[in-house]
Amino acid sequence: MMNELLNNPFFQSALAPLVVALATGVLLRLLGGRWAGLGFTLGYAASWYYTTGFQLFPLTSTRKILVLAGGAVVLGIFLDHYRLTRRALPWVLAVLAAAATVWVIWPVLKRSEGMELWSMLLCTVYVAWMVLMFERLRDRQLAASTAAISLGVGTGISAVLGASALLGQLGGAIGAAAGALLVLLLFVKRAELGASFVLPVAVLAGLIGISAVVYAGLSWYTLLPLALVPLAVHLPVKADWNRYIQAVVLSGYSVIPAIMAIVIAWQSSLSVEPSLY
Amino acid sequence: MRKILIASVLMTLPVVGFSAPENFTIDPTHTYPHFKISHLGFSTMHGRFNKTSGKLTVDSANKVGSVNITIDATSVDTGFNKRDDHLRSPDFLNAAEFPEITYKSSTVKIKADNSARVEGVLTIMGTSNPVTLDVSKMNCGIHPMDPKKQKYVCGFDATAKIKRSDFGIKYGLPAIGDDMALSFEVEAVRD
Repeated sequence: MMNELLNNPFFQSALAPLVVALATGVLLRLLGGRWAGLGFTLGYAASWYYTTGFQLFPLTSTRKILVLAGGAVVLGIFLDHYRLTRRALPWVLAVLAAAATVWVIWPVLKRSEGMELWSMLLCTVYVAWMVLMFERLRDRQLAASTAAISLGVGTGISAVLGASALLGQLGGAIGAAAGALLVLLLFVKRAELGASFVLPVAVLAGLIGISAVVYAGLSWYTLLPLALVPLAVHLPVKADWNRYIQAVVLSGYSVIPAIMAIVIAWQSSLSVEPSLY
Repeated sequence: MRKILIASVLMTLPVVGFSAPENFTIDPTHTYPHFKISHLGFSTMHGRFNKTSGKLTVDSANKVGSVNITIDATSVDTGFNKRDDHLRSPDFLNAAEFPEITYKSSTVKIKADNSARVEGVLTIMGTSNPVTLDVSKMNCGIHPMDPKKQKYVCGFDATAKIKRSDFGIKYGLPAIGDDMALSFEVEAVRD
């Protein structure tokens, strides 16, 4: 019975990250509002543990994502602690994200030539874009959390349709863990998210999206609407609306490109011809 | 007469005992690794890999040899493209990242009845584990369709059992079976 629960994808990528992120977010908030964002990391880590485990070797692309997400958390804590917001910082982070992407897709990149090589290198732009856009949301708590939910769910469902349930679950867990923090923001006072939230979200969602394209056959153009998700939450929201309405409106903005991505992935999966032999 | 006979026997002995191992190249059009696995406990799903390459050596005199086979992981075929895409994904074979499955023998013992036991290392997704192949009778001879009657071929069938979780393929456990039965139809042409 217990094993069945632990092996259930819904538990692994929705229930576990949601509950763990919520519980740890509430507890971490007691150390200071800005620590609440780490609840995302712990909730997501729980999901990762149940989905694939923390084994690192052999160092596959998926495990590289785990390593890089860990690095993003540490960097995020550092940025939050020293309140670093220099003008060049987002660009430095974007360059680091691009380098991280090269590392993740290296097994395929090193065999690529011509147009394929260039399209692989464009993958780095996607992850760098995510980091740049989410860095701009660092101080916009509701916008960051709603964008993270939509991006996680959009990336996850698209990855499943692209042929990898594993990447789908890991993508969906971003949405679940971010959802817990949205609940925290709405119903618990003194909660901040900061770089320790936005940086891991951007790195995870970016790299999982790229991996779904490079390793699981997801159509590359599915990523185009997903790239609009963190941009969509910049659409106008009236400051005099209460935060519940703001959260609903921001969710509405961000979920539209996520749905577009899912529809594109769905259409692409339908175009696969059945085998003739 | 007796001396001549003894001399003849003595002359042939070194040839039998120390003849050089023969090298063979896998014939990819007659070599297919197959697998079968429990599908959610309902039925047994069969699949195969369509592209295989490699080398064999056979030392008939000393009843030993070697096997070195590379399987193209992207060539997995279960008769349904969408499922094959899933099998190529990181959920199972992660074929884009690990395009090759390899088997390298450490010892080959050919028995008197020409069956054999091959011990070696199977590597899937960068994870290596010892796997023993049980080879049914090895059949060698000139290919009957070769017009020049020069093409010397050896062929055999082999079986093995593995647990996919030993190779880090854990998606869908325990619903999709962990135990995999492997079978190989192998033909190789002498170099």
